[in-house]
Amino acid sequence: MSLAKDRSPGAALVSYDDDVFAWALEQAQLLRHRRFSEIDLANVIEEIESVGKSEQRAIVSSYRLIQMHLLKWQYQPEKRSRSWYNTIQRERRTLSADESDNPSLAANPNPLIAKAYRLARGDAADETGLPLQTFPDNCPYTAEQLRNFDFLPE
Amino acid sequence: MSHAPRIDSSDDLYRQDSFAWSKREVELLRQRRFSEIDLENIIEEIETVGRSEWRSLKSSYRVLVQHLLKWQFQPERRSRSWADTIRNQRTNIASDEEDSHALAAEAGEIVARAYRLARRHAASETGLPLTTFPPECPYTLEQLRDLDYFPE
Repeated sequence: MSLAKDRSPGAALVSYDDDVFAWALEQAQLLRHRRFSEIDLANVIEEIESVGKSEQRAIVSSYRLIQMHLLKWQYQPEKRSRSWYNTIQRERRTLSADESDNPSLAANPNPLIAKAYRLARGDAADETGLPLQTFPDNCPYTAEQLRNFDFLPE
Repeated sequence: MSHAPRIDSSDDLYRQDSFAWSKREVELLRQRRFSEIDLENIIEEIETVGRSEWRSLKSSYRVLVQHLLKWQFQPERRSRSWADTIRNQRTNIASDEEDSHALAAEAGEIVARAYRLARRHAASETGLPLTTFPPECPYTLEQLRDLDYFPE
């Protein structure tokens, strides 16, 4: 952990691409010593940004699975199964936990729902074997319905 | 002042809303407003980047050592699948260590830490008593990394 401490000012920094482990040690050390002019700001920003992106991705992924299974439930009713139902409820639980950890994303779900739906629509067409046009262009379920443990489409 | 975006300051934001926290810190870093950043948690996140590399290498060594122990102490059950696992873990290790020489330099400590778990898993998977397996890792780093090394 002494990499940055022992470094003489102006010496070359470990680059993120060359050795991410050494990079992290060195950057943490520079930050701890408040040597802000020396930090690799671009990559530090990228790492901090990835914290938010991974939260967003997890939520999109849950919406995608819920939407796909609700579409199958609605458009292929003869194949409704316990396993589809379990997937829907499991993803709702995951979504609820992730959204409560990120109230700012929970407050504005529509962009994530729209993003997830573009993927879910294709998934549903593949899994049911029905033509893509069977499924509406935009998500037919509201955020409230997607989250509601009691909601299943007719 | 009127041009700076309004950013709510909150020590608890990190725990209460990771996404909002990340957005806020990125904005402050971009504007080089270092006196306002949540330094402690930013350091924590940057250290996590390093720790995850460390953990991944430790996990590869753990699985490798566990299978070498089984190979050595339960020779009658040696299988193609064990040999494949050993080879795969060595490939992962070589690639992780190539990516980071600083991490490779910690391999000794990583193996020492991975060994306790590897020993316990080997005991439960073979059904042999824990004391069958040496208290310290019986393989050198050179042997662990050598693609052709299999204990007798």
